[in-house]
Amino acid sequence: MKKRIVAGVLALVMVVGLTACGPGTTSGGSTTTEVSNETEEVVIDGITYNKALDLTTDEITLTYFHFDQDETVEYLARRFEEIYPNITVNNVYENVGTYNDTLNALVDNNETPDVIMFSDCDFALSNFLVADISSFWDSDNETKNLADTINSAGIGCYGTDARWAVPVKFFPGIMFVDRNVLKTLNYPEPTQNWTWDEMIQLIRNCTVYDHPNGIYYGLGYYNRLDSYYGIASSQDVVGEFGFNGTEFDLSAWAIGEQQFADLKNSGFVAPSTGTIEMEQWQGDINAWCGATGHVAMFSEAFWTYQGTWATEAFDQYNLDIVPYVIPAVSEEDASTDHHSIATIDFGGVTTSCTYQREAYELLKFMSFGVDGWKTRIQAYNDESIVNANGLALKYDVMPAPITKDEEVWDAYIDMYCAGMDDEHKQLWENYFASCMQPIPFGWTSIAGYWNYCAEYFNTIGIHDLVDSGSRKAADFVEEATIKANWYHATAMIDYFGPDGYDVLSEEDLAFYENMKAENGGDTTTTEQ
Amino acid sequence: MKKRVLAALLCAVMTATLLVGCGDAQTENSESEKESTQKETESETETDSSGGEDAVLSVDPVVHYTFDSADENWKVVVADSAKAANNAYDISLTTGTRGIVDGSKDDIQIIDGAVGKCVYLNGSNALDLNFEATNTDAYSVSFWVYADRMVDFGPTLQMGSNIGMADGSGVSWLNITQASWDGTNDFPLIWSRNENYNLDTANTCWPWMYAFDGQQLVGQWVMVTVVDSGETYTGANGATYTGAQLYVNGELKYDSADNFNNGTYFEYTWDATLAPGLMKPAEGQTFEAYFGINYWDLIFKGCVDDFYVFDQAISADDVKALYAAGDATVTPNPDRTDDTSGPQDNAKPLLQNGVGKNDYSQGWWSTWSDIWEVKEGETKTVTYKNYHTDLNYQNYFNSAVVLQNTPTGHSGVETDANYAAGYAEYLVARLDNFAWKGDVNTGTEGHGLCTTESTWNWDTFKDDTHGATIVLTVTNNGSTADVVFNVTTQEGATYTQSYKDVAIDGPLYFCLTVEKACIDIVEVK
Repeated sequence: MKKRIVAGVLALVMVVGLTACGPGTTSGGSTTTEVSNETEEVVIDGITYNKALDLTTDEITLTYFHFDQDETVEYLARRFEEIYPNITVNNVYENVGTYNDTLNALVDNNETPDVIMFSDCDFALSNFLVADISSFWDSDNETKNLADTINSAGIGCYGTDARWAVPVKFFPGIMFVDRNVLKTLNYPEPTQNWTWDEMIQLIRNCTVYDHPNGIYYGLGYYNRLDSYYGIASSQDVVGEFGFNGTEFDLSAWAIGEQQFADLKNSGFVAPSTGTIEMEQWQGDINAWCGATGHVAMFSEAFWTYQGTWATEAFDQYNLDIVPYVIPAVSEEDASTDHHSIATIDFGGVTTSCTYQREAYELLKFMSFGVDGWKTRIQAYNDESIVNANGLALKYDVMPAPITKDEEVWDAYIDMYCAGMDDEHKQLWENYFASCMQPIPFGWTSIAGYWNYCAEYFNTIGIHDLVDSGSRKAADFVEEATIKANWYHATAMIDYFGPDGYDVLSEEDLAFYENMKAENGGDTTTTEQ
Repeated sequence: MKKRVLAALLCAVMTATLLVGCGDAQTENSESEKESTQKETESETETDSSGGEDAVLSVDPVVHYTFDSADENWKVVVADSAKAANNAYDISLTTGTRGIVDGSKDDIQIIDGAVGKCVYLNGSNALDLNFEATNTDAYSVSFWVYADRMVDFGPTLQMGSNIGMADGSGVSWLNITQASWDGTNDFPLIWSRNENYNLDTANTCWPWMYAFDGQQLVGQWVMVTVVDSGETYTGANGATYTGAQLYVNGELKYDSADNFNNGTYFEYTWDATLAPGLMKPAEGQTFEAYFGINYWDLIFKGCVDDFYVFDQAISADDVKALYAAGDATVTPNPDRTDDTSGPQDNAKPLLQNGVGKNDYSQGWWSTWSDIWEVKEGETKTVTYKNYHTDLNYQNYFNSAVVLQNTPTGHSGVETDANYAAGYAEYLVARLDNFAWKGDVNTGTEGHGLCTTESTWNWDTFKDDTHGATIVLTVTNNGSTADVVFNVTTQEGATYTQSYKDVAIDGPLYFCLTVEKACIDIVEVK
């Protein structure tokens, strides 16, 4: 599925004199090209904000187009307006299912928002939606105090020397363990420095078919373990499928893929909701394994804890769910903070935005910024502020801060762990401290990744073939690696080469052209 | 890495599509149709001595199953996991995971229902509604349903032509099911498709109707009525759709004509209505109509009652009459002693080093162990535990050994996924004294390939092989190979199955495979 180039966006860029590479220098727009870091304190509703002094004083409106939790964004938007009374924030929420189509329609109609969220980076980059905000990012002191890999792995730079996107919503990778199940099975609790093999052993040893209390399973899954393994296998990996920043290598992925398929086929993974196996196990076909008290560990999403297990409705299930970092494969890596997969949604300033410094400040407030997070935590603490379904905001897909600011984290942990005893609060503190080297899922952070998945990986149905036992994951390594590198190289050339943003050096361009040639050349069809 | 797109997209369509609960809005058809005054016929007023009173309708149905007794034209069917010969057509043409074969009316219960008696299906059987397509553009179907168990996209009524076949085979179907697009299980979702329309457009005809304020189906009676006006429209994507109405419990929940009149009908790709022509199978197509089963999804468990098919679009008054004939307060009370959560099979083993899925679903020639080499003059020994299904058991639902000449691959056909250059089989040998190689696939010729011997007690073979410990030895004698299965049952009985003097003319490798079975390899020496 080729992404279309939004000619209208590029045309607008040309009309207003913006390049894809630089901040605003147009008439009627902001001329500020860097963050001065000069601020003054402003106290609003008990929060001390560091109001930037280098924004325009013009009366302007900035449109923020997003799929974040709407009531939270509304709260943030109104607070931003209080801090910057000359700036009106037009908060536009769109359901994630229609988000891309709607955004395309807005661009076609010359109604491009100023600040956008996105998850599929191929969509954003192929349409040249986001501007190079390097000058803001590089000069902004706050960006130096984020989760390490945001800068060290160039997350949001997409393999270039420029910054195109910032992390907006961060959901750390996590393994949930039900300590009550371990106690029942007399299995020792792992440490936060556990290794991948120790995790697999826990899954195996905590699957018991003949327990007097009924069947116990070692793993209830939401995310496949192969997604985790590739990144857990080496600190050189900065993306799924063994992506090292420029190239893919699926050999490590294949190990995790085969391991997970074998666990499923051999009976170590709990039945899924809506299956006969679930009905046979629990007597209710629509039961969820996370409510049974008979599963030792879960590969659920981060938000499952607050949204489900932490709610009153789950008190009845006698669970003791605690968090663990996704373990690294090697003991050396596992003994210290290490890379861990995470769900990160990104955001950027659009190429057609004329007040880019102000838009950057708004984007920061909505995403990684300290002031925005203070505001979020205030909203999350006030459980009278609810979503459309009457649910307090902290239970509605609440992210974690990607800033390392201590004040923010202290407040976040106090909010997150409200009602927990000291022991559990400490467990969460330990976990949060160990998950600050996030590596995002591939479709959000690697150019060409989603095209690769849509046109090759998922088309072949590799997961299904391996899960069925008819193929080994290792069978696919060679071809899948070639294809992945071809798609990545093609995307890098298309997005960042001379016909795109034109930011690749001659050396880099030659590198990707060579990669493309070595991995299929001009082949555009997939071989199945 | 798969992204969960479909649910989000469908959810998005849900939020974006303007569905209007239209109350008593009339359709074009209803304005011109017959008088809605009650017409009594003998069949319509006859009170079945074993059930309730039939609805008084202004039109005659072409099919009416009261389910007040088993003496009606419907049949009982069951799923066949082995995809054996199907009643409708060559099962090998299906893309589903099962076949549908005849069951027995002895296995269903007829109990008090919403309208007189109803049929209770215990989760392992379903109904072949066994009627011919009306061959009309307009039609209506209506029935009562009460679910003990229902999963999203699972079938209640599913009918159409070539419904189990692959895309591109003129597939058309109507599926009345459940979805959770708004976070709760809502019934019904009316999903339909017709590949015989719009073959030249990019978007296939695949519309749906969904009651966003629908019912919970589990634990209560719901009457569903779908009315197809027979009139067709062309949507914005070029697909042809038909006007349709959805009634739930006698009330009109959705009318596609209203959307058309409001100008919102063609706004989205997935237009909310029905595919046309579902009751007009093309020449060569097979029409099927089932309740509670299709070729893929979990079988329905619960009750069905008062099933009607009309060869025209019935009126809102007739729908109300259908509903008025029933009593939604009746709680079905079947004997659930023999209820199944699917067919009961052997307990699943937990495999430490398994080959084949532990739920016995592995099909033939679909998975293999590692491939081991046996050098000349050597013997390789593999000790494993053997488990197999108990359902529709055949003696070949077990493990088998493959002697081959390559260290990789399981096929010599270049286009096969498991192709290996030069691959050839010396022998494929099962536990049940049957062997072959390549295209030589008969017992006689297979046995002619080697010297076979077994000590099985065939009366107890099935039980003996399940859970048995098997020590398999493969010996390379240079120009021949010997294969011996030494079997010790769970009870301690011992048997031997051997295939000796198998001719080999090159390197010798072997692996294990399974069918409707799994093995747990303990040791390889």
